[in-house]
Amino acid sequence: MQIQTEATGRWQLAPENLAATTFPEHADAAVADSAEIIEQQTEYQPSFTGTGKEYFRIWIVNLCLSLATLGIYSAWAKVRRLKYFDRNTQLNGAAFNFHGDPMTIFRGRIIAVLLLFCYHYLFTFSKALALSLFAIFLLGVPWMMRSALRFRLRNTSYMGLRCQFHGTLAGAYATYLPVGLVVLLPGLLGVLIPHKPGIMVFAFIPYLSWPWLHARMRMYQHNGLAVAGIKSSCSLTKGSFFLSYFIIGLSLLIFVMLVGMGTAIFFASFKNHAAESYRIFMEAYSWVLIPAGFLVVLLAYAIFLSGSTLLQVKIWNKSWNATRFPRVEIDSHLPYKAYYFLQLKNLFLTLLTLGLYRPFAVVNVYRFRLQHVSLKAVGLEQLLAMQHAQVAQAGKSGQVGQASGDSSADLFGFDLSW
Amino acid sequence: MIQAHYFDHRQAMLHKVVLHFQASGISLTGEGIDRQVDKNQMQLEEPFQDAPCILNFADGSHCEIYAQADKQNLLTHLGYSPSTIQRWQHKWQAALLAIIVMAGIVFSGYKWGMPVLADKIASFVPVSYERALGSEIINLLDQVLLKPSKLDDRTIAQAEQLIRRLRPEDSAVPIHLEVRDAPEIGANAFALPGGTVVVTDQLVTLIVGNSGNQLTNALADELSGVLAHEIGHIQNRHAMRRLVHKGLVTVAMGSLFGDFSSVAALAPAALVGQEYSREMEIEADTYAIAALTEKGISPKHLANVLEDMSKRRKRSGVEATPKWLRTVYGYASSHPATEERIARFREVAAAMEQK
Repeated sequence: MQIQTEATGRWQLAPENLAATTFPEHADAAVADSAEIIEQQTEYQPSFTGTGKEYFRIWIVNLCLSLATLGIYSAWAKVRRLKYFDRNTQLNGAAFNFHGDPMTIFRGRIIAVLLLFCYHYLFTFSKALALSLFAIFLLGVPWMMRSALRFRLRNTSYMGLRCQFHGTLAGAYATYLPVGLVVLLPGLLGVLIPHKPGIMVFAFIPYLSWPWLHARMRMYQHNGLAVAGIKSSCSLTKGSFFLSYFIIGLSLLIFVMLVGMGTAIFFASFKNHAAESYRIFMEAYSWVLIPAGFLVVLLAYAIFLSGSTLLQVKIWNKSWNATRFPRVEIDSHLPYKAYYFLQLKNLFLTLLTLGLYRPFAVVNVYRFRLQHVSLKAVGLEQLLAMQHAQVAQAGKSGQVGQASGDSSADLFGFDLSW
Repeated sequence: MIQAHYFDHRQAMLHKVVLHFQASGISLTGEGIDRQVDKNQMQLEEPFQDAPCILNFADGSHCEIYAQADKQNLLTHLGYSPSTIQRWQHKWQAALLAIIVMAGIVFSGYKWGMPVLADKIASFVPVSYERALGSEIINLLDQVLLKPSKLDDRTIAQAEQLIRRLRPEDSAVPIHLEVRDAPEIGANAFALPGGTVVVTDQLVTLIVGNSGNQLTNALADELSGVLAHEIGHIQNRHAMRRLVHKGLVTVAMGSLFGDFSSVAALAPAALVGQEYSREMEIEADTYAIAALTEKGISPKHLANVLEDMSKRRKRSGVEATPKWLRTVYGYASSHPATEERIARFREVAAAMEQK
């Protein structure tokens, strides 16, 4: 209940110059009738109409053309892919759509390749260069992350409305600057204080703050979503992911250590105590080691996947359950076991088909995730209709740009993700 | 007559409308909606099998058409013609053809495109960068694999004398010798970017034996043979070319499989785990033969060392087994069989003696 009032308060504060006659009435009504409203809530289930078969052909043609054009086409391929997924996603009788300009993505890609090239080849070149690249990355990445989020959302539409991302630039820096610092620190220290493995161990210590950093990234993202003027709020806290990370991370660490130690002890004792039979064994059966090693790696990966999937599921559910729009609640209930077996199946089939199963896997996971998320709202139709009319009205008074014709997103847009 | 969902983009409200085809375009009729849209005021988005068809109008509004029969009807009436790429996507055979085309592109790119491109890029790398990289690598190797040489100063001085005699005047980089103790590597020699040739104590010991022989005459010629081969690598900039090539392959793989973070992780491996291609080894051998002949040294000496080295490797192959991986995978690598190389040197040497 606390969340609801807080969210309503935000909602009320944000568009100050709105026509005062219509807006507060609705807000008051929302608070007053809240008890009744919960009973009248309808559940809206998104659905996905895409198929692995159809996406396979899109994917393979995309891949082929991207290869043939040395990656240039990949920007156009991305638009095609996002259009396929968005347009096949339906909610309450309307489909989503994606309107991104491939040129914007292409521009982002050139910058990404240049930055990665610098990081890859120039970072270790000299201390001065490493420091300046470090500064460029640190200052650039938060801006780019925000731009990418804005690009993705502003180019996504639903019922003719554009989505929005309204996370602030200051928020982006507060969120991603520490992340950049933690990720880049080991590399920087390696260049500034070379040949000191002791210090390098310390350089990785800040990674322990990852559960908090991850939660803060999710908070920044989920607090900034909007469909037209309906803004999201997110009740995650910085410590929300700590327990999941702690338990799962610790068990995985112990597992990895046990396997590593076991293998080492096995080989070492075999070699020391029975040097002769070890030699004979190696000469006769060294060919067995490849398939056997492959199986062991696969098994270890399956166990590792069980941990990482659990973490993924926990964080996914927590993040979406904590996110709500005024008078709209999100219910995410991704089931762990079924999701894990789906991922395992995808992994094996992808390996078995040398990657050709990948588009089927992507569609399976996307559909599965959509199946386990739903919206709960009272009269979603009326809410959306009312909201958009107000934004359009505000747009006329010059305060908020009209959502449907927002080309500034493309002008200043910047997209990084693959 | 087609059922559609109409969105006017002023209000996020679903209007159920009926589309009628007319000579000039279409008409939309529904509750409170009655509009005519001209043919050139609308545009149909790429149709997908089960997704709704999207008909965009010039004023920003759009229609979504859901029923399969309606979609088909609409496409026919608007005379929609798919683009080449869309037609390609629609046919299974054509999509499968894409796999073959891709395999062809990947194979030829890897086989012919990459090496040529790598050589081009490597030729643009300034010598100063190559030297800085070389010293970076030797520093790294000194920490993890190499130890200071245990040989006496005179032997090292003799070895340095040999490389001074062999190195060409016109070399782009200053060629110099580093001798190191390397129990883990064994008897070997390798060339780093920037002109450094590293020879292990174990190789020198293999050549001179343990009884305190001097590095002179035939023994000196044997080491000279190895050095000439390594100088061949340097003169052809093999280290840099190989490095750029590996980098290109890694970047290509990374972008193909979408995981760019792995690129950064693979960088150190690419720096240290260098192996030259078959062509490069042959090129270095050709250089060595020419250089040795010029100094009046028979290539048979190089054949002798190679033979000793491969014998030694076979004997110690099992002992060096934390690298059991290497025994498994290593022999499937790109090296021309040592026997082939030895035979080549012997052949040239025999031809020279006959003259």
